[in-house]
Formats: sequence, C-alpha cells, structure tokens
Amino acid sequence: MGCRIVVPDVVVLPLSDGDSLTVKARLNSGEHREMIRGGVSYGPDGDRTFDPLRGALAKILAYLVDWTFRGPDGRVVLIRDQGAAVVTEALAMIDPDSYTEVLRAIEAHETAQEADRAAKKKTPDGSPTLLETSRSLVAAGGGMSGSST
Amino acid sequence: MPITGVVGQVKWGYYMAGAINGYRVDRTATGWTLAATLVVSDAFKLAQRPLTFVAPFKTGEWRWPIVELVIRDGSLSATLGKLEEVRR
Repeated sequence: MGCRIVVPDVVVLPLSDGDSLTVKARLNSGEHREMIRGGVSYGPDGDRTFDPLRGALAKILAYLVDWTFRGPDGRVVLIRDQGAAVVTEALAMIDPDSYTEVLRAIEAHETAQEADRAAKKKTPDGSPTLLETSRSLVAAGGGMSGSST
Repeated sequence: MPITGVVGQVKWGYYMAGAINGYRVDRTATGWTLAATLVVSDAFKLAQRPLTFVAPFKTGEWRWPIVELVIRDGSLSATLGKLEEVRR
C-alpha cells in the first residue's frame, strides 16, 4: 500500500541560454483542482468554457516554484514564495517566446510524469491494472469516463 | 551573538507550513536553536518531515533544517541543523 500524500518534491527543468525552472514534481489534488478552475471562463449566463490562454497560465502557476530569470538589474526576478498575482505579473513581463518556452517545458514535464506514473501502475507481467479494468467496465456498460471540465 | 529578525517561515518542501513574525536564532556548542512566534500555521504540513526554517534577508535567505520542533501557544522552539545560505 503506497502513500497517497503528494510529497513536495521539485524538478529542475533546463531552458535555453542556461536558464532553468524549478517546478513541482507532481501536483496534489488541491493544486490540480485549482489549475482546472483557473482555465475556466464564465460567460454572462454563468456558463463555463475552457479558455486555453487562461488554462496555460493556470498550468504554469500550478507548477512553477522558482526560476533563474534575471531582470535588467541582473538580479533574479523573485517569484519563489510569492502569490499568484506577483507570479502572474512577472510572467507578463517576460517576452512571448520565453513564455512559450516556459509553458512547453512544463507541459513536457507533466506529460513525462503522467507517463511515468502510468508505467508504474502496470504490473510486472504487463497485465492491466485495476484502474484500467474499471475503465473498461464503465465503457462496456455505456457509461462515461473522464473529467467534467 | 544571536540572529534576530521579524519575517520567517517554516517550510515543508516548497509549502509554507508556518509563518513566523519575530524570531531569534542562537548558536550553541552543538548547533543552532530557534525561538519564534508562529502567526500562521498549517497543522498537517507542520506534522510532516523534513521541515526547514527559512529567514530571508535582502539578497537571499538563510535556511536551517529543523531537527526538533516544539510548538506551544503560538511559540515555536526548535533545534536546528546546519546553516545554508542562499544568495540571489
């Protein structure tokens, strides 16, 4: 029986020009919910739609812990331990190519760690896990799976 | 000569387990001790290990691993491990 608490480990992601990001190795459920919530826009009638621009920012905010980006004064732009408003402002100040690079790096990290977890769920002989079996049963019964977002 | 300050944090990884308003760190023969006032705390995160005491200064921060921790009525006292200075 494993531990279901997400331990706050970090991973350093190298970027171009010798820069790097320090990101959460894995989000916990609260952070994951906040990330999903951050990508949702509400229409005038209260209807919800996924906004990819907001979703991208929410993903960065969810994962980013620190970076090595420096300001014009040569000092690292402080984002560690800062609130979402400060980090959002700092992200708005970097050039668009750098923003895209940050997003791509975090997306790649997320994809890699999801694949890693999926691989670990497989039993040594490759037989399906309980989770996969449950999904199959839901599909066979005409049910729906997936998130509500 | 003690190190004194106002703003500090107790951290579990990148999470803030507790916010400190007013602290004093003393060097002892065997290491360091911390006496601080805890103003915000997260009971779950404070129960996790390892914890770190972080004291920011203008161009960086001092970090000590917390070896032992006692919290009573908002007062925190701790035995600290080896000091690490992080410059920005």
